[in-house]
Amino acid sequence: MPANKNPIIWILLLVCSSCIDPFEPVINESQEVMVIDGMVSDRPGYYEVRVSTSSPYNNPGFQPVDGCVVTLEDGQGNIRFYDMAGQGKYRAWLEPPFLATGKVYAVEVTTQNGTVYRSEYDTLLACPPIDSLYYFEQTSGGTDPNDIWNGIQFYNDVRGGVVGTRNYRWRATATWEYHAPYTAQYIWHNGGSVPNIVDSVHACYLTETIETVYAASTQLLTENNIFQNKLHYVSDQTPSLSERYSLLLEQHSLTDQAFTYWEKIAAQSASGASLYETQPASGQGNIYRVNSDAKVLGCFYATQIQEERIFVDKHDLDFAAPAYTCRLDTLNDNSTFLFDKYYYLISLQPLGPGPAWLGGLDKCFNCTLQGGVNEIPDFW
Amino acid sequence: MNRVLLIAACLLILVPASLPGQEDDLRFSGNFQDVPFEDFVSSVEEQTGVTFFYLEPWIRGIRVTVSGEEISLRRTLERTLLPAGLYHHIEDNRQIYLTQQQPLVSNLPDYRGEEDSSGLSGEGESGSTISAEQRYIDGRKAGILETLQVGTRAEGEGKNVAVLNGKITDMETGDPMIGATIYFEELSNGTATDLDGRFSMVVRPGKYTIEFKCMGMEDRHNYLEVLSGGDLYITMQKSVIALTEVVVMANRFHNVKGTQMGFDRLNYKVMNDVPVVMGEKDVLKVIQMLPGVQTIGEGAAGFNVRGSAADQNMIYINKVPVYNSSHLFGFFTSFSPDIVKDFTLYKSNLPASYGGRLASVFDITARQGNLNKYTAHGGISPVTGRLSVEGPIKKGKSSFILAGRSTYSDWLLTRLEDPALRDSKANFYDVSGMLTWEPGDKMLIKAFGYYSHDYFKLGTTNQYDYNNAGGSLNIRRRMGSRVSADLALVYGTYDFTTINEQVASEAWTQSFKIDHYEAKLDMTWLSLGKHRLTFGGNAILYELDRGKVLPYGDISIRAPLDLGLDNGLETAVYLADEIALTPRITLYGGLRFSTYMSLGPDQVQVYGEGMPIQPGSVVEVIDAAPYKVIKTYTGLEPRAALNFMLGANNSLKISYNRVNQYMFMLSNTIAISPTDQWKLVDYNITPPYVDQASLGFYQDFPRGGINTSLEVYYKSIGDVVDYRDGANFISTPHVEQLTLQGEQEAYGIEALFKKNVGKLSGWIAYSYSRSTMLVNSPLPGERINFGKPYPSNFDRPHNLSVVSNVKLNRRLSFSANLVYSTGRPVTYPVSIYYLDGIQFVDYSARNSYRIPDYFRVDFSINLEGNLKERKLFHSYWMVNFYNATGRKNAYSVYFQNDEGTINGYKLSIFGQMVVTLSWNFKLGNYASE
Repeated sequence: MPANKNPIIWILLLVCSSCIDPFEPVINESQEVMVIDGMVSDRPGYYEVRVSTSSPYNNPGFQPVDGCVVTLEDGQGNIRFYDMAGQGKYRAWLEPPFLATGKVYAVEVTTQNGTVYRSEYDTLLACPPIDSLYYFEQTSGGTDPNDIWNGIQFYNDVRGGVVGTRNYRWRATATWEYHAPYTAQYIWHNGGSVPNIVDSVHACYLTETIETVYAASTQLLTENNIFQNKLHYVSDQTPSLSERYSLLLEQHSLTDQAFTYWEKIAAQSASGASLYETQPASGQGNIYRVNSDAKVLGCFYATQIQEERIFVDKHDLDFAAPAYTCRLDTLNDNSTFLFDKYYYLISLQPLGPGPAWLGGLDKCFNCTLQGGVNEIPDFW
Repeated sequence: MNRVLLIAACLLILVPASLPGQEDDLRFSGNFQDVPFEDFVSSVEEQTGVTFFYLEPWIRGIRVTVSGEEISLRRTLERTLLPAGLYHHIEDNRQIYLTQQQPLVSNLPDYRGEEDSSGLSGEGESGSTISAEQRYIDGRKAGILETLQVGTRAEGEGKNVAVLNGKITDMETGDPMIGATIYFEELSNGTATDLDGRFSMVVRPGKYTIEFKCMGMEDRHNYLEVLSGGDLYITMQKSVIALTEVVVMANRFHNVKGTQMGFDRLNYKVMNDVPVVMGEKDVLKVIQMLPGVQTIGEGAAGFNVRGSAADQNMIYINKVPVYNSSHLFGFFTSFSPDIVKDFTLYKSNLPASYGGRLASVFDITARQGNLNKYTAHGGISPVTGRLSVEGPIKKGKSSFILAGRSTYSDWLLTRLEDPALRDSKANFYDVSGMLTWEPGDKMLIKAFGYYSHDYFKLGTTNQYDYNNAGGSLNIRRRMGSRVSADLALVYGTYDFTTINEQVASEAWTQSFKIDHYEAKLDMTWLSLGKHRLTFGGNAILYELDRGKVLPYGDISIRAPLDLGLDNGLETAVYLADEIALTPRITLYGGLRFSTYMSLGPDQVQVYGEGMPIQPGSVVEVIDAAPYKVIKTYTGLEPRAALNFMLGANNSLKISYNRVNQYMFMLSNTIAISPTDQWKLVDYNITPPYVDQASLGFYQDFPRGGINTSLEVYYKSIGDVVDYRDGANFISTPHVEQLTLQGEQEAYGIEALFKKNVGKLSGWIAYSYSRSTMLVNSPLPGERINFGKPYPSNFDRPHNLSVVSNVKLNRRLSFSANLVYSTGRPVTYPVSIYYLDGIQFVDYSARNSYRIPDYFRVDFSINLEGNLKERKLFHSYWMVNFYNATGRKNAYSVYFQNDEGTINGYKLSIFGQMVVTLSWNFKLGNYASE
């Protein structure tokens, strides 16, 4: 295992006020390389293959490639066609018996100009269920050693059997509940205030894909078990732990080839400051351009998926995570008429409307403005 | 018997009685066969009633062989003492005063211009000074030259060659002078002393004007009358004026007149004159200031010579191989600066006696203990404390030195606030020692031992522990007048243990060990004036235990994996000759024949022809028994150099050499990491080899003490080892599944300007160099960079180093460094792509970008204690200002995904000026060694 996050760096921080600085390299080239990725599992459902090209480092963006013909072949001559879904996405409804563990699958993409890309066959291996998903409270730090943050570290355990995969990839999706800092009693608009009877924008739910690639293998272990596989860390530097937090973990089974790819990608995206830098691995996976040596990025793999969800309530924690905050203004009768847009008010007089008020813009009262939705997810 | 006379003072007031030799000669009888001079004196004093006066260091090593009745004492003394640069004066047939450098002047000059015929040249064979020069001596004019005499006329009868065997020592300490030069003006030729202060040269009998030079010592000029072959003992005095102390040891013969190219020799004093980080003197940091030598960055272990990886350097300390040269990962060097006497770097035409590494040999000579008195050195810096003690075991004959250093850096870690890191520990120490014994003039025995230890614990998850150890027994013996032999028996070992608990259930430990057993014999044979033949050979048995990866802790289910043993036998024989073709042209030609046998036990996997090297391609498994020869590689390594003297002070040299390397380091990191294993070549991995050619112009300006050189080189390395993406060296015993072999090409030009004397000394080194790799294969999976050439990790075109030292006076000196180099190559992301909505980066062709250029300026102030002559100990302070401009030089640049966006970061190791104060001491006064 590479010794990254080298200890010496921490020693040096004592003599060095800021050893790690943002750095913008001058990059004056760009490679427009074909990127194809997707996967299938054995569950019935819609499956996607995404086709795009890479974008310049200085001007990143998803550059979809539409108009391709995308097919999936199962090694037995059965072919399924994907429909164009726009934005470089191709979608197909797939179900057993086309989908089954032990079968192999390969994707083929033919672009509008007739260039053909194919993946190697990848075997759909059985995946053991997630044995457990849990967390521990842990402190962390920034580059300044004086920064000590509270937070929770998620882990999972695997207890695999003798059959099926020994290689895993995990995808994590976080959802958390947070609240707008205040609930308004009145909304001021067009020179008058109306009582805010139903506050539907106080509690919100934000769902986010964790953009870290987790991959591990038990090939070097005596058993197909993993204990305390380190997953996502949530610090108290964001309001995500302020009410309730949930992590959904998907466990994917991988073949050796797919694991090699995801392990490289995981190492690449997790690289940090180290004295022992390695050359970056190439992002070439199991997809190649037919009759060409051209570089193709991405990987297509077959997997069985297991899922597990965990909830963390703010009361479960030994520390108080900060919530969103917002500054309100103290207002009196004379100032309210100045508002020509919605203004949210909290009366400071217990018996009803009227000065004096505390008031603020909608972001202090409307949680949806922080990116979340106010519908309670079904799993909540 | 130890009578000391205050010679200088007393002799001047002696009343002159007569010229030496004019009195009645004293006679004695006896049979003295190779007896020490002291014993001879006792006997003569007893017989004749005379009393000898002299300083003991002068007569050290002088032995007397004479037998018969009624022997002339005067002649015996002349014959015995003159070769050692000693004169005698017999006063009233009762006292005999020995003097050094100059004969005693006991009468006023005779200005009548008549030749002195006092018998000095009468018998020839024993004359101390030649009459023609006597006037100068008597007249005490400036530039007086004494005449030294070697051999006897009788022995020289009918011979036209004479072999001179000499030794040059420090008058005060008796230490051999390394790299002192002996130059024969009439021959426009000369030689230099070896590591034991010895030199040999074949000349025709005759009279010569010779010059002895050595760094930090007064130059010495003499006439030399060679009657026949014989011994010549020369002592040199320290430069009286410290201001002229030479910083750089590189003598004119090496620079202009020698055949060696790409060569630098420096001595320990230079470490005092180069500003250092954290107050630690360090030889490896000094050589990084030389042209063609670079490092990955501050804190990186090892160094890179002419664009090559660090595992292509051989580091020897007194012939003991150092497999890991760093403490604390790379911040410091793994041996104490106090044990270092002298260090030599060969980066171009390796002499035929060396082999085994493609890029360079870095040869460190350990200090020999003081032969005359006990003394100690030490120092304290913010990171370490160190102490060395040395002294005679038997005065003048044998000595010891013991040096140790230890860190107390743990306190740094306890200051960290992160609780996990506060549990970290870091410590290291090293000890080294040497015994030297000189049983006679013809033999020198050295026993050297060395041990270094490092331990680092990061929080509760990672532990590293590594050790270097070794010892050597070195016997040098002169056999006859023309042949000398150097036999060394060497043992070296390096081991590390690492524990990784980052994932408790996968926690593992691994121990690696390499044992190196070596016997080496080097012989030199001087032939008829024109040849200097060297020949010999060595045999190295390597025993590598790559260790077992074992589960660590109660809950680890890591599968034990035996990475296996790796044994090999490397042998080599060589023959080389340095021939002075004409007075202007010297040719060095040598041939080294090396053989490597890969030995069992091993389970060798044989892969199908043309198939990828992966588990599925195995067609046969060879089960080899322990020490059974699995595969033999041979290498014929020609070494050649030609020196063409253009004038007295400039020359043109050209050289070519081939070297094979039979081991390499498994390292897929750009800097060497403490868990990198060494690996021998084997059935599947073939030995890398280099062909290097150099051309150089060398010019000296003797008046200013300036040496300059300009060298161009080209080297091509075959079968150099590189690694597959994500190679994990503890995942399989079959390393060939992780490695790839390719080609490397490097070329460059190196310029060096050194000023060795004067108030301001130092050097300026500039190099322009390139280094390119190519790993291609018909199989797509076995290519790097799509089979296209790419800059090696060590390709840094422009390099400038300036090292300067200004001695304001004896107590105060300033030093300054300036280092500039092009940033090292790096692979940058050039585009962004998305997998399932997550951003990833796609990289450029390998190493097609560079991290920002490196620039650093350092200063140091060295303040010596008072200059009182009588004091128990002398101390000095050193204040270092490292990276005085506070520039945040990039060590590395990396990119990471911060919540959905890719950001670039730059890591600097010393991002601001680091000021350290260190205190050093030695017993004795300012001038003590």
